[in-house]
Amino acid sequence: MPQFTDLLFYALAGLTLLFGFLTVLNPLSRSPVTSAMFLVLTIISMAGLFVLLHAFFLAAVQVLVYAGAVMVVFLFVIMLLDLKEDERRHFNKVAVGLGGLSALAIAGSLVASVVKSVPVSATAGRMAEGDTKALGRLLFESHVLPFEILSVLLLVAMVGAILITKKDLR
Amino acid sequence: MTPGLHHYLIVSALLFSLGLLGVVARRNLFVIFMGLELMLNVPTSRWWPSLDTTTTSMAR
Repeated sequence: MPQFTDLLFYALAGLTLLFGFLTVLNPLSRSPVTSAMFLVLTIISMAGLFVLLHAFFLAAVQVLVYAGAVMVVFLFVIMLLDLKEDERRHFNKVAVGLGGLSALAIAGSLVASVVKSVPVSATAGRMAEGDTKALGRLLFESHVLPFEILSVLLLVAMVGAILITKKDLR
Repeated sequence: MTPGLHHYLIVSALLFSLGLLGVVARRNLFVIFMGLELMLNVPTSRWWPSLDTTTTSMAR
């Protein structure tokens, strides 16, 4: 008798893969906005997978940052640039064929190596200390230098973006 | 069958190749970016036994 969480894993994994496929090759729509919406769904079902791994913080950040912030930026840019002729253009058959072939090859070799190297009985070692408190302690104690370097990097990027948009500043 | 490390890794591998398909097959720059997001987003690297090694994969 399979447990409920097992069924949940299969459902979420299937949904993730389905939505991922619809992100890249939607047979009904070639609009990048549709792709972005399906990417949001992919990310949300992936967050469900993280919850199954007891990585609650990661799941929350996944939804907040990816499904929230990153996708909003994506949609902003897509709608600002307003690429209409892309929707009328059909898929390039050769590109889809070659891409499918290379994706199949990569998937085959990755799955084969996983099957070969990972014992089937290996349990999904959930992150025992995956809670926010432990993560925060780690970030601000042992990894504080890379963390601060990253914040400086983000500040530099922000200042650079402002400098680029304001041309008359110079 | 109870999903173990195997299952998660295989889902990640399939998701990665889907992202690759998006990068190769689509012409639209944004969809290519989305394919890249898909490739970088795979849960593979979150598997290390201790949190200490997990943070390195989170610092994308």
